[in-house]
Amino acid sequence: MTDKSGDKAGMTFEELTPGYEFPAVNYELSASLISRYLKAVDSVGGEFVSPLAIAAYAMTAMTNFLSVPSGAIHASQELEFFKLVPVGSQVKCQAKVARKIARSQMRMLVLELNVWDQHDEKVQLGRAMVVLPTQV
Amino acid sequence: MQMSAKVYQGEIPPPVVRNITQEKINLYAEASGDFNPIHVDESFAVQTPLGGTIAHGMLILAYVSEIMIQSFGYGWLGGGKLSARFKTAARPGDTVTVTGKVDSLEERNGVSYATCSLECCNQKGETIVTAEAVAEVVEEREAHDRK
Repeated sequence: MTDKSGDKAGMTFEELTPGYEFPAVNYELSASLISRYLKAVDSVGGEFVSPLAIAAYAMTAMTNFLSVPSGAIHASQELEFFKLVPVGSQVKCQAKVARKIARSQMRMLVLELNVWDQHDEKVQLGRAMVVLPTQV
Repeated sequence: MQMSAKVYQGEIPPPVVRNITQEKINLYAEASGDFNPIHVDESFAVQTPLGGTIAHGMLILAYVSEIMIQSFGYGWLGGGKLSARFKTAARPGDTVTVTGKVDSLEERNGVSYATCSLECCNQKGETIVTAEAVAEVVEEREAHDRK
């Protein structure tokens, strides 16, 4: 979950506190964006967006605010989908730190993501646990 | 898109099989914007405890979702719930197979829900992801009416 340039200049694990809310991000689930996603996951689409695509873009958008160390991995993911989202929709996503766990050999973040459509109706709720390396 | 109206308890949907290649991982990185070097930089990844690049967890979950899309269509896309745990990594060269089973059917407030257990394994039989998923059992017409 880092961009092409490597680690980002966002908030670090040490700076984050449980309950911290990241700024909301708006993006369009355009036909070209979804087409690229479907090609990458070997799937065929329809008039509605795969909820996994929405989750993937929400997570990527959120990590723009995080300085995620290289080597961070996904440990678990919960998702709930509330309505069909047509291709071309505008969505808003916001994330917050649900939990922060630091042990001697392990650091983990539990991030909660909410996604709304252009009518401010909730379309998705997600909860991701990410394990951050202590050193590489 | 397949209908889901004839789902029954114990049903085993057709598996979803995908080959993992570095090219596919790179394509997913480009599509999602997730360029964590653990996925795309072999020289970095080989120095980590994982010993090489691994597929994005969300790529594997997309395959898990695919089996639900094929079985439940709109009932998954607009009313699904997924709880997944990553057990081991999927690597370039792996063939991953997602299998599932409808464990139970339940009706709440006039809506039918199917609860499914899902597993994604590699060609050695190692479990990559275990998941539980719930989907609404709906007719295509109902789904369109919800728009």
